[in-house]
Amino acid sequence: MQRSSQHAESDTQDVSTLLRAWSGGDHNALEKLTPIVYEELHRLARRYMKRERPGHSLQTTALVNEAYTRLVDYKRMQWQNRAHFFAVSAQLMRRILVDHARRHNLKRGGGVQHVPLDEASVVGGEDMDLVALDDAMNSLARLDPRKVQVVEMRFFGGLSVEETAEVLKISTVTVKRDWRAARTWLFRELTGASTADAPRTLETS
Amino acid sequence: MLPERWKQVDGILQSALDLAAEEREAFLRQACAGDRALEHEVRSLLAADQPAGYFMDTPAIDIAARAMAHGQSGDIEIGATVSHYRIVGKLGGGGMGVVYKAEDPRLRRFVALKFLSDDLARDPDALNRFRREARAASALNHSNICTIYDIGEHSGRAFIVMEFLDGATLKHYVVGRAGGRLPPIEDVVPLAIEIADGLDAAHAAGIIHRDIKPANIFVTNREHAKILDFGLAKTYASPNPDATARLTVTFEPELTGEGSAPGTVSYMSPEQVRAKPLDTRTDLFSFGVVLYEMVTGKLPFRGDSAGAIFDSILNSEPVPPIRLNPDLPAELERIIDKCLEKDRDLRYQHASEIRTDLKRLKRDTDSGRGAVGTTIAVKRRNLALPTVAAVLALVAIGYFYFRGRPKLTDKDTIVLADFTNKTSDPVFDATLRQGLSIQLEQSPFLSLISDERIQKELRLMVQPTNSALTPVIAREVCERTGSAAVLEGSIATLGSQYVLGLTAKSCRTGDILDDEQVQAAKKEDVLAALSKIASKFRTRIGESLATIKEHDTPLAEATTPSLEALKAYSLGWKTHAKGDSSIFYFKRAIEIDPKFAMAHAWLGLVYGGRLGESDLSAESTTKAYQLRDRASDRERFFITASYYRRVTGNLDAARETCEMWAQTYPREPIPHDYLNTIYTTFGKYQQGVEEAKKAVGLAPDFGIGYALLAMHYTLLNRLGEAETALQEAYKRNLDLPDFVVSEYDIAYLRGDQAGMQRAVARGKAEPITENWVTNRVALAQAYSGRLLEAQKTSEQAVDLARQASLRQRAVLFATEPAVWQALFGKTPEAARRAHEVAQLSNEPDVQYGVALALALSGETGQVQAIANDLEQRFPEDTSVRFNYLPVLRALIALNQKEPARAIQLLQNAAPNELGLPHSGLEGSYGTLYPIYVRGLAYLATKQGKEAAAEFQKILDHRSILISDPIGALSYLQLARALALAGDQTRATKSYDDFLGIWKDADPDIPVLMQAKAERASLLPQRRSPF
Repeated sequence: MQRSSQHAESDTQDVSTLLRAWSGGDHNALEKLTPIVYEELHRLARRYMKRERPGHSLQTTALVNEAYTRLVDYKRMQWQNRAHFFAVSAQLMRRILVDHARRHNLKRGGGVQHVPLDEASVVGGEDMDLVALDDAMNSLARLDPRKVQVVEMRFFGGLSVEETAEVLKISTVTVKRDWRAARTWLFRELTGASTADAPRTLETS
Repeated sequence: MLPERWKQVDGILQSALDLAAEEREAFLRQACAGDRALEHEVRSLLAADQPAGYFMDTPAIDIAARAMAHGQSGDIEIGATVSHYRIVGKLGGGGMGVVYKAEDPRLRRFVALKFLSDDLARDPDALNRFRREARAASALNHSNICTIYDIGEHSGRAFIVMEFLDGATLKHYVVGRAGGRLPPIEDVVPLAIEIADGLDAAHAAGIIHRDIKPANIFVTNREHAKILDFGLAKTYASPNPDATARLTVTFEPELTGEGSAPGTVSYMSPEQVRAKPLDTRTDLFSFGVVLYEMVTGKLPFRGDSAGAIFDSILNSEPVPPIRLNPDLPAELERIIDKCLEKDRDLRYQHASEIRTDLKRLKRDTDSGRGAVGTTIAVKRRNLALPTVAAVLALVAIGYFYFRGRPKLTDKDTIVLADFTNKTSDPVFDATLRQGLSIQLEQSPFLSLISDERIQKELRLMVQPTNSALTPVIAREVCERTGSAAVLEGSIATLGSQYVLGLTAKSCRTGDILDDEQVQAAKKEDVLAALSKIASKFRTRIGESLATIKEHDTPLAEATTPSLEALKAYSLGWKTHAKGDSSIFYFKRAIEIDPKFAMAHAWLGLVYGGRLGESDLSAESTTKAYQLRDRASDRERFFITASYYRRVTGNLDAARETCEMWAQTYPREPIPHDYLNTIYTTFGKYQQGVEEAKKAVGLAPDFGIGYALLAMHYTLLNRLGEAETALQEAYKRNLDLPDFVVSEYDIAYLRGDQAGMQRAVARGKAEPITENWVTNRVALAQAYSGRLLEAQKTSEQAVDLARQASLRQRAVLFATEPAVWQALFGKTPEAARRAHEVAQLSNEPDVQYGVALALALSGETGQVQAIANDLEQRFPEDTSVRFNYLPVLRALIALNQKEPARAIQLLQNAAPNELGLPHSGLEGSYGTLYPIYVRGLAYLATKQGKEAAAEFQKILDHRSILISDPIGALSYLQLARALALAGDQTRATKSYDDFLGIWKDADPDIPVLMQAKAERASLLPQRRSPF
């Protein structure tokens, strides 16, 4: 643990520089950034697996926050444009996490249709299909790019409503509305539920 | 789809989401205007809204990490054999880990295999416990518990084999319905009985579930309930009792797969939260939470974080479910309440008791409910409404039934049973009871038990609140309320004639006190017959002939000669009382009888309340006023007072009317509420307190009286008494947005940051409250000179008010920043904003704000024009005449360098200068401004002492001003006045006071820069040794 946090410490500056480079169009930067994000991802995953202690929900949240903070500790970074930085890191997280999911095909093997036993399983849970979500977000972007940005900031970037509002220069109320509509739209895309009664059976098809 | 099309969909979707579920249907049809494809698209999205509730709640990185953690634990392939089970598919991540559908080839049936998550599987203690629990749970053989068939191990991973179920979890059952509708009560009750039955069986076997929640309850396709995961939840602690205690609160979001706290924590019992040892009663509490959610669609204990939810579980009373679902039978509410008792000794002790109560409810619902449609049981709870004015509007309905006094003794009350309609004509259904009560309420001495009270009693009697008030039930209500008599009415046909009967029975002895019959030759004569029978009754029962003669307008004249119009009016009442839009019914009543004064009056009330349609409200109220001769005496008071308060704004006339009203109808609380608000504007807060106390005394079950009382105590800076008033209301389970605002104000005046935050947090629960409290926060920020922040917060308040459909208030809020900017010397910005806002509304309060901002920015011509326009449009309005106009004209005089004239003009405002003008009622601008401007004028005439006295007066009345920024600015102006008067020491101190309050102020505010410069120039003088 000690090692890992020291490691993250020294990375912070790098992440800042790399992010700036990436947002400036330097594709090599992404290659360097990816392992850093992966490292965090693995660290989190290890904790889940090992369960250093039975996970308290609050701890879990703290854990995730910590991961974000390590990766994108905006407070310690001297970005002229905080909003821009937020936007770039959210994009980065989306890119890397979706790539990771795609590469590991975490969801799409087997061709088994997933039908929920527990509501958590379709959505929001560990089974959530980030690749499908990414596809759906691309579809939505053609209709309403701002809503997709809101999802990117909040879900991938881990930004709060207020921060998202700041980045997109819209009111928090608009963020909340966009979020709700986008979430609904994406959920429908992902579950294929054109009516809410869809997940009513356990029969696999 | 094209982006343009999506915009259309999105627009309608957003509006529909803002509406209550039952209003959406009509809205969609109208908004989509026959465009079927559009409508279908919006509907399909709406249907996904609720199921999407937790979607993406967990950040992506968390999901990826969990997937990774899981991925490494190894999925089992389809077709693989586990033990002897053949895996046919993955069902998803369930409460405990991954779940597969498998086939049991020996018994030829499908089963579900649930694998224990790895971390548990690796902990030998946990594993042993799991096995033990599973073994015990497998002994449960009950049709409402998902049966456990087997436990086993596969490659070192423990799994259980259980019944495979077709259906969905209760979570989907509740929230996953088309159009976001709740499941009907008739469906909920049988399911609840089954769940209680399952719990009972398990508890009898000594097994506690510990994690009852909708995700753990399955509803099969045949609508049977099955409880999942019995005995499997969370007991993976060491046998050490201390550790057990600690670990009971340890939540395993990884196991439930929901990631974030709210899904699971919300169902915990108080003893779980407190980490006490658990017994079976914990499940009964959680079951209560589930039941509450099933019938309301909402969680009883909510919060943004697990901590906030815990706090709510331990300390808050949930919103009475009946407020969220008016169709809820009172008995079901009682059952839920009893499950949710925080003290487990007061809770149901056994699941079987719940089951019995539910079964009884089901029996009663199945049998006696044929009469539901005919009852006039108006559900009139404390519907959460925003402003005092709007609350008064609504409460008026409640009070209308609530008053009077009979002959028997002058403390007696009577209960009006439903009319028995033996004709086949439904027009008589609700109409006759309504008609009779209007007729009887004309009597200053009769007092009918209010429907509000009746509902309360029905709940205590374990009767559904919508049950018909049959003679038997009415008699019980009569006994319980200590009333003297029950009035039973009936109508029947006799040949082509109608026979009306009215019987008064003593509920103590059963004696018949009076029995009247009249006949009506035809349908049109029924109302006249009803009036006649009511008069006869009043005479018989012993009311003095004098008062009967004085107050006995025949029903046809007091309301309408048309039965249909009266029926529409009665329905309007009913829907309004339920909190739904009653406009349609009142309009319909007017359509049938355009001279129906009370229908106009109510329409005016409804428009003027939440809807904020002040023009339409004024129009209808004026119409009612013109027709006021066609109303009963009592209603005429109401119409006249409304007219003065809402249309002309002439509060002196309103006061006179209300005083007379209170005198004539001594048991009527509304005139006291109205008088209280009139005294608010007059600044006579002690009298306000007296009136509010009377209102509370006459109607202790209505929240508004307490709100007014708390507000006036706060204005008088008697904060302890204000709090006591609120406590009294809470004791009676009353709640209004006003209470939260009062709490905020009290905390603010005490400098109690934690209290303010608590009020803000509490305000978030209801949009109708949140906008109001948010505006309070904006004002407080403006008070300390944090203008940019204040503007931002104010924007939020505006947005929230709009979302809550409080149009008028939203514009008022939007006007405030212009006034602040002007006061702070940011004049170009102020003028710009003022011009923008001026377009939004013609309301006097808004126009006053616009003119204030412009006048304080040095503008003259346009201010003059607005002042003249206000004077012309509202020649009698008390706020306009004695507050807005003197202030505006004084400011104009100041701009024209005629301060002496300004002082003179302000004399008009002197009598009410400590009152809240209309614009200040919701905490906006205008309060104490006459004093402030007079101070400015004295500064301009260089009368330092006089100026200082004015500003000191403002500082002495902080409890009136609360957080209006002129409070802070008064320190600065006082400093200037003192400097002018030659008192350098006190001036310096006052400058420092101001700069202290503004220590975090935006540095670019002109007023602040001037203040600093002035303060600096004082220094050398003070230090000068000579």
